[in-house]
Amino acid sequence: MSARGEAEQGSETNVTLQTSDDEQFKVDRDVANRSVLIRNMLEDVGESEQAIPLPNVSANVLKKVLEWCEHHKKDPEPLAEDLDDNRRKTTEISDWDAKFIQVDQEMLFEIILAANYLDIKPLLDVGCKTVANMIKGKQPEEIRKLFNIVNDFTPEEEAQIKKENEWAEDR
Amino acid sequence: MCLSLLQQLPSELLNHLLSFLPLDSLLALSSTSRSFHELIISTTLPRLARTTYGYSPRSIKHLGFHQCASWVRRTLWARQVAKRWDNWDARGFIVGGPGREFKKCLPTMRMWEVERGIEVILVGKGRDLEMWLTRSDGGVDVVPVLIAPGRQARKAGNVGGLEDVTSLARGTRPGEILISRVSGRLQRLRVVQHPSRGSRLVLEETAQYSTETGTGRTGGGGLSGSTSIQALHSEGPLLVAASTSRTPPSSRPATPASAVSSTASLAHTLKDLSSSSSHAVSLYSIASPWQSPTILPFATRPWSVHVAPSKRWLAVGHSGTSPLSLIHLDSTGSPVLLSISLAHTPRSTAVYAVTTPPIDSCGFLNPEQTLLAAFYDSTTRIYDLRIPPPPSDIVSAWDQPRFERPSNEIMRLSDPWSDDPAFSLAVGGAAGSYVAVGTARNAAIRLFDARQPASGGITAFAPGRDRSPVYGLEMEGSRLWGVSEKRGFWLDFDAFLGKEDGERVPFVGHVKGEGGALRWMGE
Repeated sequence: MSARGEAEQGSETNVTLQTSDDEQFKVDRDVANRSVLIRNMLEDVGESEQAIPLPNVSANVLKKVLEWCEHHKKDPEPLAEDLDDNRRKTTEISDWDAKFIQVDQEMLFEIILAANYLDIKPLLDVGCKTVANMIKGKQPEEIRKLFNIVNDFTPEEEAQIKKENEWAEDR
Repeated sequence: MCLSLLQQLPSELLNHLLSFLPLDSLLALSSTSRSFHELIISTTLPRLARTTYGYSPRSIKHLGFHQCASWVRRTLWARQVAKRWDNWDARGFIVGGPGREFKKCLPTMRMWEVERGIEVILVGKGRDLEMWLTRSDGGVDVVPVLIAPGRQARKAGNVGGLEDVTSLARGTRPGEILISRVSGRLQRLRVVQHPSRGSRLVLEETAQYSTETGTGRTGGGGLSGSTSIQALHSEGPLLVAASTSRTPPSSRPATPASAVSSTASLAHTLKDLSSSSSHAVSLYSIASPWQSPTILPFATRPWSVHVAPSKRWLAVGHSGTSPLSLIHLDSTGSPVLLSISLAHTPRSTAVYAVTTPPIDSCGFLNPEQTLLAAFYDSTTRIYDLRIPPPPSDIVSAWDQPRFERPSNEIMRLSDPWSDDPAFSLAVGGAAGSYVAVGTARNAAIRLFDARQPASGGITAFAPGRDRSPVYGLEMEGSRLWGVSEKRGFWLDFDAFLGKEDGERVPFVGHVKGEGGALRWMGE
């Protein structure tokens, strides 16, 4: 109804986003609409001059997220079936996304958390696939080192798990 | 101390992330710390096993190992089994060992839950029953089955083949089975004593059902032998029987069909012979043996019956030029409207077996509305029941060289090197997407992957090299069980069979370029 009408008109207008550290970003509505959270908020609230508070996202992360949204603002909406099936099968990432996600680990996880909070599924997947690719092909000890995981197994437990995981080859 | 960012992710995000990882990486990650181990074992692996490797606990109830095995083992097992199916890499086994042969008979078999969670194969061979029970080491024990005398003691004396078992159907609960015999006797049995070390399984009769179909009379508890049941199938409380009654000429009612006289004496005799049989499909309530069944008369001999898992329809395979009928059922299991003919053929043929995919099958878009039928003309045809069947006049187009497949037939599976009739049918295997068709000669079994029918299947030759048909087939997650006139066998796709286990299985690929050369599985 009216909310939809406003959303269409509003596609040319700007939206102000306010980060957890009180920084404000003015972006195209197209760009902001990549976030399902923001899109729903705008549809609910309607036209407003007020900044949208994003208490879970800091300025440096939002800047990075908006960079992604800007580049992908014309992407078609993913189909519902793609969301469930195809996504799981491949961990391929487009060239632009791969370059975009070349950040330190802290930023990588911040982006994943922000994408989850802002409900930007494609960006969330880029982040998750990147982490998955970091894990792939590595031994447990390498994974521990990479992600700073503390080994809290007793030696007996560790031996047992090792044995279990090798079960297939033993037979 | 700096905590791991990966470990700090909320669990639903972590689960999502883990869904992008292959099994080996999940196992590596699960060995890094307790929290990852717990999460991956409890959530990620069960999901991976089910979605990616088609692991279905329902389909492997014969293997006790899965009830206590960890998800690591189950997932590794499922991955390896899926791979073996993919490569047609089975080993062959003869039930009871290579030296064991049946006294020549027409055996019948049914996968059956003998006890909650334990599935076995129950086999009727001649007048006897036997059970094939999988041991924890994967081997199979043959357990003889004794039927304790029921209320009516069996008539002594020579009963010939009248007591031979013709078909078996699962009861409403584990340990309950329905059994039909040539004499027309239809009994419900239940387990009264499970076998302990080397002893027998003892069943006792809990009910008998009337098999009178109106024209044929079955006196004295169905022992007169005038009605015989060719096929049984059950789903939940519903039991369906396909039967044929011989009508004694004197008592045969004068139906319009049989009143038509013929001048040619031979033709007259033949007609007389055929019309002195009447055919029917009867619907019973398993729990109420005292209720008379709903009887649906058939003009031709019904060979096979199958009730949908949803119990909303019933398929009947019979002889004729419209050999496959579908009957819709209402919520009480009563037939509604008239039966629908799903297929029309230019020449008279027969459908010897009908079945549906497992409900969790990944091989069919809509398993609930899919029907598979094995035809005398050697084809196996798969129907989408949501699409209306073609009108019967389309049959004329079938004689044309370029006939089109009717729209309700979504797949037609055949062996380019053989036109032997298809006798038996089963669906299962990894992801519930493999179709097995038992043929009329040489104990040959056609195997197809329903997910990629275009790549063609194979025809495998069952252990024992019998020349006989494959009379029955049942398929589970890792095994294909079958019976010929002389023996029981299984093809095993289990993850951890070695080359030295069982027999090598010969097969012929269906792909034209390969020239139909005989090959060996796993080589």
